[in-house]
Amino acid sequence: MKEESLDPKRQTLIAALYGELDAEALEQFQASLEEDPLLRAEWEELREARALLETAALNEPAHTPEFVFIDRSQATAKPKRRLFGRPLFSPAWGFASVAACLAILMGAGLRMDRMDNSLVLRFGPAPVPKTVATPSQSVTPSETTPQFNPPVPVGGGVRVETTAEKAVTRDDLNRYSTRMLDALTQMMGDAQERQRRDMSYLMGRFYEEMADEQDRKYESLRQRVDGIGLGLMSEQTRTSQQISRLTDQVRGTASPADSVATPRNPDKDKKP
Amino acid sequence: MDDRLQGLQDAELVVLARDGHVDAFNCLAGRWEPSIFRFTRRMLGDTEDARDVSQEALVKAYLNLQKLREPARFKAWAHHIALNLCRDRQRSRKHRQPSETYVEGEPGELHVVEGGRSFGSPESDAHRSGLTGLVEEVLALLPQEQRAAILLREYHGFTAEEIGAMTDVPAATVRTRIYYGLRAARRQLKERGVTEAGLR
Repeated sequence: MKEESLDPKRQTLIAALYGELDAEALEQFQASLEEDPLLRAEWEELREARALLETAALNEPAHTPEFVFIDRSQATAKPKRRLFGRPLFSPAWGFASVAACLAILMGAGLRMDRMDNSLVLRFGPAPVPKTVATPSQSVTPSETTPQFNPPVPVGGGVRVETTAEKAVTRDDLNRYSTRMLDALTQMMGDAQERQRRDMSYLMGRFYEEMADEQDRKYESLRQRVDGIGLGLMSEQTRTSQQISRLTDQVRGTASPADSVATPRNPDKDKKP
Repeated sequence: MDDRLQGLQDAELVVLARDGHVDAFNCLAGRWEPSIFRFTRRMLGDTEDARDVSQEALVKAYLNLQKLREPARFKAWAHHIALNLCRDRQRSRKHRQPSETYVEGEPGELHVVEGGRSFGSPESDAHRSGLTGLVEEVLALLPQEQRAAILLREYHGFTAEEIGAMTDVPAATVRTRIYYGLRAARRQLKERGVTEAGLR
């Protein structure tokens, strides 16, 4: 279809029809309406068309919004392994694990002592230096020695008693390894349990959504079938009315003017 | 949905939705879906098709949200997507039913029955009785571009400039389409006995 472009007057007419003109332009337009009866007739025609369209929209059925977007990329994505709201294998979790292990070991009596400029791991209670000084002898500053490397008391002068210290044995290591293993197994069990719960929750959501989707489709299909049924019924009624009119016409009981259905769009048949 | 979202402007909701806030997009969709649905129903004349197309338009809008250059223009952009989808749908109808009726004539006369699906057929909704049905029937007979221009201007509040931006034509062309479309619609309504005086 080709549309002839409008002259400026009619462009202004459409702008005025939709209230797009400013006060000055509107005044000019009103003046031209009074001068030009053809333009005035077109204005009335278009204004009436608008009024009819507006009135028709008033009776339109309301539409309830039904669109809810579910971000399926997030809903169906494999959830990150998380523990207490943090990723399972984050640096923070690593530090926390080491700290927990140290706490377990220290709770069991592990000590870290300095000896000969090196660190020694020992088990057992910390050595408490017990100094017994006799009145006859005093301790000279030069004789004060590091706590864990006491000099051998000579002649009952200074006597330092230490607790029985023992080095880490293989049995100790085995015992603590077993405890560590138990703790880790427990942790893994917990993580698996959580994962199982997450999975069952996601599966539940999935089935719920599937069921909802199915219901929606069913409802929509049902409405469509109902619509087609209604349409068919109305078409049937219309056809039977036409048949009865034609029958009446053939029998001569009706005037020809109301018997023949007027074509819906007579312009369609008009030749160019 | 968070009630606070309801108080936000479109542009703010678009920014949130771009950051992955799905509820912000749901809020936008809830705000504009009825308008998009009404527009697509008037364009297509079929409720089911309109429902499909309006939902498809919103999904497309969500997926292409990053491409929206002016977040404040979300409404126009979403309607533009819907308009393009309506055109696609009508084109596919034409392919399915090539026995379409074309009638040539003067500008403003009725030219085509879209896609071989005439309004008033059982599968369309235009058999609704009353003025609404008649007006929809008449609008459906207008050429697609005239119908889109009238619908967007009359029922959805877009200016001629905005419609021009949507349809890639100057505003003057939009006004031309509205002019011829309204005149043709009014003539058709008059032929069906519908006038403003008759409604009073």
